[in-house]
Amino acid sequence: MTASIAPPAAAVQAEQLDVTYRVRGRDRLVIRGLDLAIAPGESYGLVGESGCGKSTMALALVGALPSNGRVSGGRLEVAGHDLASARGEALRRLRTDVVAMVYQSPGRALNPTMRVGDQIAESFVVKSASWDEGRAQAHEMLRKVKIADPDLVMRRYPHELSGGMQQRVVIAMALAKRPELLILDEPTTGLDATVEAEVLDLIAELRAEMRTSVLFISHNLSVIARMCDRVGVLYAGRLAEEGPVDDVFRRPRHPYTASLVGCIPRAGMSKEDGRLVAIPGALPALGSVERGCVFAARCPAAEERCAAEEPPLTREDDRGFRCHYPERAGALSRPTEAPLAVADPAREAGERPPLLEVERVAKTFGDGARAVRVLQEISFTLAAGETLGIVGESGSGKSTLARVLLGLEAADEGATLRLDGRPLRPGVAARDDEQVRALQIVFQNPDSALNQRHTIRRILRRALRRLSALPPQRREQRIAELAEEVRLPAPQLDARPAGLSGGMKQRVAIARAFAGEPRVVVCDEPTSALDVSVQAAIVNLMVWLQREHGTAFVFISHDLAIVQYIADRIMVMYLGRVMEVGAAADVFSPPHHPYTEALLSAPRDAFAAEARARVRLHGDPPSVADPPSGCVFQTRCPRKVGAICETEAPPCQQLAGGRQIHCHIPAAELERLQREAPVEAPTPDPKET
Amino acid sequence: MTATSTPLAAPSARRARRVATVRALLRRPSFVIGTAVLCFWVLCALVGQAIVPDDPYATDPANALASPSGAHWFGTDALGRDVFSRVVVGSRAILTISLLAAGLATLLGTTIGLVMGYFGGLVDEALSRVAEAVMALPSVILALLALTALGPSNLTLVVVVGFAYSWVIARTVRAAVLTERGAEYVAAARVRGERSPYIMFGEILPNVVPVVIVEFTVRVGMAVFSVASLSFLGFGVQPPSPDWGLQIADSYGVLSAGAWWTALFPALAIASLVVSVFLIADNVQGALSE
Amino acid sequence: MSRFLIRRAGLGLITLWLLSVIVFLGAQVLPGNPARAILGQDAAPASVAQLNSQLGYDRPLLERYFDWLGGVLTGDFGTSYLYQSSAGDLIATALGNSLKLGLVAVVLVVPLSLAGGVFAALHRGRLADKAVTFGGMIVSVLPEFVTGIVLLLALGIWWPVLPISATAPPGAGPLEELRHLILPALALMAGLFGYIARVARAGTIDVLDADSTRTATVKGLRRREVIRRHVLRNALLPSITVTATQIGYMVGGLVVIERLFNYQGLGLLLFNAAQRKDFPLLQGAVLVVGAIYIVMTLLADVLQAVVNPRVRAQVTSR
Repeated sequence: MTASIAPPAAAVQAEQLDVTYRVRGRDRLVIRGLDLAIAPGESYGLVGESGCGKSTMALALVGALPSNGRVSGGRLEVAGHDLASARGEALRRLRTDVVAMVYQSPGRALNPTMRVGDQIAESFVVKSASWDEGRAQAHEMLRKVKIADPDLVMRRYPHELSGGMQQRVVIAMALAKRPELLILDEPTTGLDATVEAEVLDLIAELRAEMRTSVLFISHNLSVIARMCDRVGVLYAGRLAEEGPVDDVFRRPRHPYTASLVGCIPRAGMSKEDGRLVAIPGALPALGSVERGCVFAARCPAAEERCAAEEPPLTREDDRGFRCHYPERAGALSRPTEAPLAVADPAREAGERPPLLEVERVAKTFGDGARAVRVLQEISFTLAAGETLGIVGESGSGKSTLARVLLGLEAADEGATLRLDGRPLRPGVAARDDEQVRALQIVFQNPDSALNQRHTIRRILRRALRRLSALPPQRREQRIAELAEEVRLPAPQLDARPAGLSGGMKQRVAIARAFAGEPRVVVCDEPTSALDVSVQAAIVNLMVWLQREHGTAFVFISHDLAIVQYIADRIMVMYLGRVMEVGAAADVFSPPHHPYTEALLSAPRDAFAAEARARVRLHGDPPSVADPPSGCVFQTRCPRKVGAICETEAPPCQQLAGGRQIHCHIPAAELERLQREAPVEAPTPDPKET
Repeated sequence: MTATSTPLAAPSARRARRVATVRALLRRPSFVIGTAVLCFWVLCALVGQAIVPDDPYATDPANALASPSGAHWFGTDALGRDVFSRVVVGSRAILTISLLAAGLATLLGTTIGLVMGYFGGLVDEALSRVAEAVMALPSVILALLALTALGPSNLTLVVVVGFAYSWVIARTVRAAVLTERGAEYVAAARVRGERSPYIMFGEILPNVVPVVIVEFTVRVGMAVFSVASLSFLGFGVQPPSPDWGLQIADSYGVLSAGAWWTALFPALAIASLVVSVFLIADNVQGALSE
Repeated sequence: MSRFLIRRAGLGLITLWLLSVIVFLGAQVLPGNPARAILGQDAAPASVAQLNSQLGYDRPLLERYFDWLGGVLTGDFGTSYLYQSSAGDLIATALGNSLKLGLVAVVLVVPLSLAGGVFAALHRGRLADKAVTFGGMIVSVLPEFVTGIVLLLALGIWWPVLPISATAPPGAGPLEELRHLILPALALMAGLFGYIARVARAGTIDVLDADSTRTATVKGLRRREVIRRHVLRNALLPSITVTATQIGYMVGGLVVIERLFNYQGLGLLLFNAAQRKDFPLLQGAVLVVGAIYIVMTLLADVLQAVVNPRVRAQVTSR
């Protein structure tokens, strides 16, 4: 580390910082009057939704704003070096020695045509090492980020590595400088939960070892809660609130923070406990709010004064907030009483007659030697009005399963699908009108799911024409009713999707799915593409629609908290196989499948102190094309018992309440183990790099 | 909700967007120049015959190869015909043929491209091979072959040039359709039981229209290029039409004798027309991708 | 990799075969009655019938096609009516001349246009950028004979620094031969410059804006190191394909240029064959033109797979 004799300067010191982007000939303030200080060795989190200015802040700190952006006011210093005025060699020195950055998409951040080893070595070469020394040190760095076979990885190109590995490489590259400030910009977004947990552990460990100051940027409160000492909440370029992490999340002094905390279901909360806190409206366009509080238009606690007069940054002890009525915030973070759903014991016990029956669904892509089986022996049932949550990481086959149910892909021979006892043909074109109507879908990304060239009215009209028996003259009225049901303002019916906010677009997609009174709606990650503040409103809407129409949901998600909130029963998938099925309440308490156990120990809500004992998986999920023998989870299983796991597929253990666990360990034994101590996973096989 | 966050949608959103695109185009000087030049030639093609000072077909052997003067602004050719009048009237054949050929190519190419991209698999594979084989031949050479076999005529010219370019367009449209096909709105349409023709033309086509427009404008330019080249070779527009390529072919032999005007003016006419079309195409592409 | 090579070469062969079908259809089926096409509408029916049987056109279509294809595969392109000699030999000689001309143009244009494109990208939005992209586009969209006429007038007649004939007098040295080729080569390369420069510019801009370039900058590399080590290689990869196809297409321009400069190459041979309805010669020459293009795209794909690790990974996994 570079020895500094002077008293340590703050890692980051921003005073009244303004950052401006020039868009279509007009200046827009992206960050406005930001005051922020990060102490040496401190880990500071910055949260906020997309477009709030988090990433702009990161880029400003490395002097790499896009060409239309600039620091237009105030002061910005990193470890005592002024950034606003740094140019040329001075800026370069700052980048080689003082500040380093880890990016959101490691796949794009790495040079695709340069070997990984050389890219890391380059970080040493810029600090005047020779290439040979650089490579030797790169090797050392790769060990530090726990890559089992550095020699092999050094010779690889980025695209030959998994996302988790790529991010380790980027971290190695950043830490190679031994920076005084490390900026992490959404470093684990886009990684699977189990991989994310591992990367976060690595970051925490390295930080403790290197005593680097950290600016951790994320939209995910639970990740911030786990990784940071203090947190700042950004909204529309303004610092809404800051303070020690636990304190801010537990006792928010700004309504925005409170709503953010409240709109994510806490671990253990379900739809019967109350509705989620939803923030109405959408983020204001860049720099469009000129007077008053930037959050006033969406704030449930706002008064006239808020729209007229911008609240100053108030400091109280180690807290800071920008609100006229900080005392009102606390109440907002708790979910509203008056739940939308009521418990139904018959449904929970699985005693209702099945509406949808799925038996032995398998799906193979390709043929011959290159055949890849992405689904194997999936069976489940769904009762009317029930929600089955399907949880799994990428490669688990959950989306393929959705496509098979809808008839977009045909399952392999031997599968049976039945709706109301009548067989469902494999292809949607072969199903009768009633069956087509009965099964509809809500996709993840409304931008892709809505035809950008059609108006909302046309989209809904077409759906009614295909899916409802309404005569043409009744359709216009029904369109208006549908819009009202999903709280879509009538004038927006004549807009095209591009004119709507993300939340509004998803409402249109939901309205379309409900146009023909479907029996089952498959929801494929319906909230994942949305900002957290909008997610809650969509989840509330879906729960309400389900109660009104008695529709059953197959709710697919990688987000356990959301699934736990909305689902009656949960199915956990891994590499195309079912690991475990059970009532939502049961799945979250032992005994559970070791894989579920690992999923549950990843950070899931903003109250990190409550985080349970951690079970970590090492290494990346195996490829679907080449699944492990025996139990597919055995290569990463922390509770592997021995050879039997490698040779035999696990039995399905039937437990009370329709619960199923696919594991060689008897359920009673699992329960005993899991109530005792957590285990560390085996060190990964060096081959698995 | 803030008034600024969601632009309120008017029923005429589509028209508003078109107006915005046209406005954006009119702010680009090179687009305005290109359009002005193209309009000039279209005007010449429409009414040129009526307004030119001399009959473009009238020969005057006594006055052959006269250099540019007040009487003959662009001089006269080897048969004593007025070059200026011939240049003005010469715009007609090439513009008509090029526009028709580009239109035919767009129609054919868009349909083939939709079929290739939507159905994929063997259909796509087979049509892709055909496209590759056709595209292996520069359009001028493909046209040369067909025009030799069929004998030169304007109709053959339109069909042959249109056919050649349709495969280029098909490939571009195919690529655009492939991206759209993976979009979830197509899956949503299938889930509600829509049939293939509706999905192709009702759902996908509107989304590839910008690509088709750009392709059309580019192909008009390429068609002018090819038709002019073929005329120069004697396989395009047939005499006695005062076509530019023909004029150059007839007269470049006398260049070394110093009679530069007979070839240079038609050459500049072709240049201005091709460049104007490409300026338009380039700007349309820029405006649509914004 | 070898699997990819075989697959790619196989596809190339299929395309080549389809091309032969198209060429055969164009030359033998479209005319309906080749002898009439040759002799003209006024010829006596008897002489048409006689010529048809003399040329073998009275035989079934498929038989004729396989005869021709078999011949081509063994290097026999048939006999030219016009020159009364082996079409294959005529094509080979002409091709040699055209390659000379084409080589001069390619050697001039490829480095120049790639450099121009990169230069424009590095000065994005400034005057230099506009000059290269705008000027490059204008010279490229002009038909070769228009550029040719202007060059001929400017450099051959008004300011006579270059010979206006492309063929050097017999016995001239290689340098003199080269001097004669410059004018037509300039006209040819004008047609390529804009397209290649444009793709090189777009590729460079994409990479300049890419996250990986930002990573390199934030690493603390100097700008010229960033460009040399991280930008150039990735930026020029897309140019490979375009350069190859453009070179393949250059042959189209050869017809016009060789006619204008009266150069005894493949283009002029093609033109003469077309004008005199010498179908065996025309068929053979067109097939060769298409084959050149197919080989160029094949080379581009293989080169792409060799130098681009991502493409390499795709082709080896397939």
